[in-house]
Amino acid sequence: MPAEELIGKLDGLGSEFAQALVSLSSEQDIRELQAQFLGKKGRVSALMREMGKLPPDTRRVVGAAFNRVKDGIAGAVDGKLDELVKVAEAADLERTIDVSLPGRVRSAGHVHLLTQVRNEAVAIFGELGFEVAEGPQIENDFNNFEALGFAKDHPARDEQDTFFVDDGKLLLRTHTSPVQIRTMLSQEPPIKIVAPGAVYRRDDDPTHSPMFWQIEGLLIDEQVRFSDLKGVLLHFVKRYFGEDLDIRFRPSFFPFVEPGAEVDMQCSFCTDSDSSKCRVCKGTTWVEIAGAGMVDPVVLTHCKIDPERYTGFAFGMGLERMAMLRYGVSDIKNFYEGDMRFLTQF
Amino acid sequence: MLASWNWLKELVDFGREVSAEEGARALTSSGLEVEEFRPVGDDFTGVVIAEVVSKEAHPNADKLTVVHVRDSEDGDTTLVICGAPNVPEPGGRVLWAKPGAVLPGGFELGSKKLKGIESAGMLCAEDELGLGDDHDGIIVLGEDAKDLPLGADAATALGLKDVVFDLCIPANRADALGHVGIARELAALLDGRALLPDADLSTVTDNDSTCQSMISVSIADADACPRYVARAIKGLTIKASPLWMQQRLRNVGVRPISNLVDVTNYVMFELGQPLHAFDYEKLRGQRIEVRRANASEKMTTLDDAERELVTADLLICDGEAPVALAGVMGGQTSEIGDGTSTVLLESANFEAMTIRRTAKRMGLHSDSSHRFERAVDPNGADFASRRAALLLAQLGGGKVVAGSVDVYPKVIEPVHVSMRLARCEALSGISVPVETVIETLARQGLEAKENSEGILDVLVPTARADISREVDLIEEVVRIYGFDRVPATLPQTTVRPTKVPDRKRERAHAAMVAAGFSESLTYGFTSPSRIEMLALPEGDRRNTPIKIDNPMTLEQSVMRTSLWSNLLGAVAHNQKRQVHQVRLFEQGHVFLRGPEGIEEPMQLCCVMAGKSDGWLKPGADLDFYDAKGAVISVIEGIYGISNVRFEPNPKATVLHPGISASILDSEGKEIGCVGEIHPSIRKSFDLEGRVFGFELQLEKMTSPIDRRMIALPRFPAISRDVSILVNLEIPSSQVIEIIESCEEPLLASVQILEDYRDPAHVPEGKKGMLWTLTYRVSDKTLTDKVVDKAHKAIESKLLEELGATRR
Repeated sequence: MPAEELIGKLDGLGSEFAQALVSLSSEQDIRELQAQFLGKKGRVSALMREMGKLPPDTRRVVGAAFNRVKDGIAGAVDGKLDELVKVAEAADLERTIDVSLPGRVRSAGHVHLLTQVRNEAVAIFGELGFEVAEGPQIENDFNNFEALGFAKDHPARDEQDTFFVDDGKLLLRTHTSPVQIRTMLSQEPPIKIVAPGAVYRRDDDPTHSPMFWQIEGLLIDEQVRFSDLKGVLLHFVKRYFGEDLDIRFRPSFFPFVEPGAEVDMQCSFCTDSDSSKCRVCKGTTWVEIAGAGMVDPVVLTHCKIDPERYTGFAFGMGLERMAMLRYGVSDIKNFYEGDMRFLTQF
Repeated sequence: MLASWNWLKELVDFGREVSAEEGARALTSSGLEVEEFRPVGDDFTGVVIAEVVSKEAHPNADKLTVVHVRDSEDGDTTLVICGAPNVPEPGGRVLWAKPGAVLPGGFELGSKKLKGIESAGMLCAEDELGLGDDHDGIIVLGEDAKDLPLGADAATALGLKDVVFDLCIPANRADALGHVGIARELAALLDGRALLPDADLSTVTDNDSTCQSMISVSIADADACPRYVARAIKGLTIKASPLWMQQRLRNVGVRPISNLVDVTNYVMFELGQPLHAFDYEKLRGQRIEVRRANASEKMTTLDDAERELVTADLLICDGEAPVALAGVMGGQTSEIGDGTSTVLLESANFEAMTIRRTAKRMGLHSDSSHRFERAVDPNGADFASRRAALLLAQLGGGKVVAGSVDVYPKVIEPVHVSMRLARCEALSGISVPVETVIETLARQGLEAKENSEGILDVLVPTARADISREVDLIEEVVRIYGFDRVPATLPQTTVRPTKVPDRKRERAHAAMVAAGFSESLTYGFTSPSRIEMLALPEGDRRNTPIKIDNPMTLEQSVMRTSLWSNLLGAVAHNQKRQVHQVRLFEQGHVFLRGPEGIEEPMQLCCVMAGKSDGWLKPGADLDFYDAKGAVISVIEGIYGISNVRFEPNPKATVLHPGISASILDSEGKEIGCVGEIHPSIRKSFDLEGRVFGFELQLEKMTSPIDRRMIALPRFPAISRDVSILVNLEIPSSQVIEIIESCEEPLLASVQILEDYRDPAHVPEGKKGMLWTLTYRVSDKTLTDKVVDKAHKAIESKLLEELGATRR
């Protein structure tokens, strides 16, 4: 076959390929077509073998034509494949869905509100160096009352109407303060603890529950002052309830502290215009949040700590009250019923 | 305690006008918290003091009286029709609601014709002014109102306008259980001077007889009764107390009875000293003996109850029998009555504990016992006796018999307490100048002298039994100086190393929440029936809960012995409220009796009911494997990996015997159980549908330790499947055991892909299992040939040992 004819055939194959390629739409078909032309047994390769029969001086021209056609086919294939990718992508982008249908949720559970309050309080006091301490809920009279300065038959016991166990030999702790005693008896000062836990009193109405949760704080060291107690509780209120809130101490009596105080924080629920209608503070602009005071020397002596060398403070707060204040829970029973509708709100 | 602002104002000279609001604020800030602030007598206007000029019967009505009244000395008279039977004679004084007056409830008066005669307003009865509930007649003012100007606003002139404080008195402040004590506090706080009421008997004493000749007093138990003051008042007439006294008593919550009884209550509320008035004529033997009760002695108290006494009870006896339960309540035999003309007035001091025990045992909590329980000042007894005697003589028209019988064997003296100023500063964090400290204490009636540099010697009056130590004085200084003047500082404390907490509990908690369970905190107590409903086997210690001696309700009468009882109760609670998707857990203490006393182990319990999570509609029914998966989530949450085993446990409690497992730790120790709630227990708790759950004994579980990293694989793995038909009863754990027994070093992991039981495709009694085995070594890429050889060996061992066939 003369060189011109060979070149003509090669170019013919080139355009034939281009024509066949147009209608193809899958990579596999394209690759097959490519193999029909460029494969070892392909049509271009067959013509290639003809080239060997040509005189050497024309082989160069034919070789150039051969390369041109081969490159043309390869280029067309690449172009076609690129185009296919783009078409596919464009088609993919056409898809739409109903985004308003519900998500396929794998719900996490909810941490009980009281645990959240507890954890947050523990964390805030933890930053100030207070460690968590715990004690049993069924206590003896010494730890719950006597060591705390509640003499037998003291009227102050009336305020903590007690559940008794084992014919009065034991009791359900009425406050977390026995943890103070247990800690002081087992550990040398400095002592810096918070003790969260369940406590029990015979009391049942929308704001009182026969079981409720308290968090107790105790700091015993040299040179602990009443003003330090104020500072620690002020820090807590600002962190937990709001930076702009102040606290006030009102003198009060608890047998295990002297001086003793009830601690109020500014009511954050009053509307500016009329605090007299405030449901929370009842117009006083203050809400009670804690009982506190300097640990009475009697308590230190009971725990074999020298009250001349060491002083300290203690405070106690009700977790329910904090939760009720902060989250607007109105009936204390909600905390204990295990009602999913309540638990999953927080 | 209820206190009247008018009364308090009488007992303090403020030297300026002080409002009730200011007084209340001061008290609250000093520790006598005003819990309620209640204005009284301010809900009517236009009612004035008027004088009856004439009265005559109404011509057209039997029960009506035509009264002419005037409200100024020489003013015109006005006609008022009155329906009450007690219109006083001319000159008597009444309360006239003039036309235009507004009575409680917003009722406005005008002029109105009654049976043909026009009446201008009305004459008022107690109840019409909201002052009491008496409607037997109009209010007729007594002699004490004679000097009040006619026309004066009744509420103001009669002191009806008042503010009642409901005070919360701390248990150590018995001194504040009387108006005088509260007034002393107010004086200290507001720079006033405390005053004492009149107790001068010189004008009312009858010197012809002496008290000693009328009565003798002996105290058999001076510890229980440190002091007894008796006074006699004779020639008395019993009648109603004057309006002002009645009004004050009502305001402090006491019902007026008669002048003789009211005086004792009045002085108790004034001075904090409980008093008792005996009808002298009813006392036998002219003697009083204070003694403990004899065994099986009885007496009838004023409330008509016959009381059985015990030997700890303290009695006031006359020559024959008990006449009062000391400090608690009087007896019937010597009660003041219509015929009483001579009163023997008791002003005694009783020991707190004695009174408290008797009052508590009898459930008799009186105003008197309330005060004695909190310790009354023995040195106030005589003053209170004089004060009451004066009032009795004045209001009852009698005379006080000269002298008194005052048995006070061991006089209690004021104590000296010293206080270091440096200590005060160290404890409080504020520095108060010595002069200020002395002045602050003085205002509280505490005399302080600086004996040596920086040390004060303070004389504490016996009324302040709450002050006996330096720290009490420091409290007093800071309290009166003002808690609000104490700055907020942060403690300068020693830093000490802290313990590493056991993270097991918090990790388990977090894992449960992450696994979709919401935390429940139920009561520590439960009901006996809920424990019974768990149908635990005999001898199981969870069957014998710790009982509460004095429960409030049966539902809360025993301590929980497992978390199941209250959590299954919570499932029922939710289902009854149409909440069916229940996923709850609780991590808390249970209460059990152990060999060394009561144990409070911490447990984790989980319950789940409803369907598994689905999309758009709930997914499939829950089954055992959902609960087991939750267990594994917790274990992985605690330890990083799951190292527990599950074994069938046909003897499971609470759970279905066939659909439950024991949870064993890596050492084979049982740490919990998981499964379906037993159908009969489900029924007892009234639960809908199958309920699943697990329980973990957190205390039995080891603490998590740090794990060492296992190097990540660098070479690819090759997987091969095994599909076999085996007998139905062969558990998957057996297959794993056989595979592991081959100890094939190339084998990296085993996983089951299918547990196939469709009877259409599997012969009866058989099940299909599809396993995938993964081969990998750490130092090279495995070849198919090597893996095939290893896999074949394992496969043949499985077929042989399980009697299985290829599927």
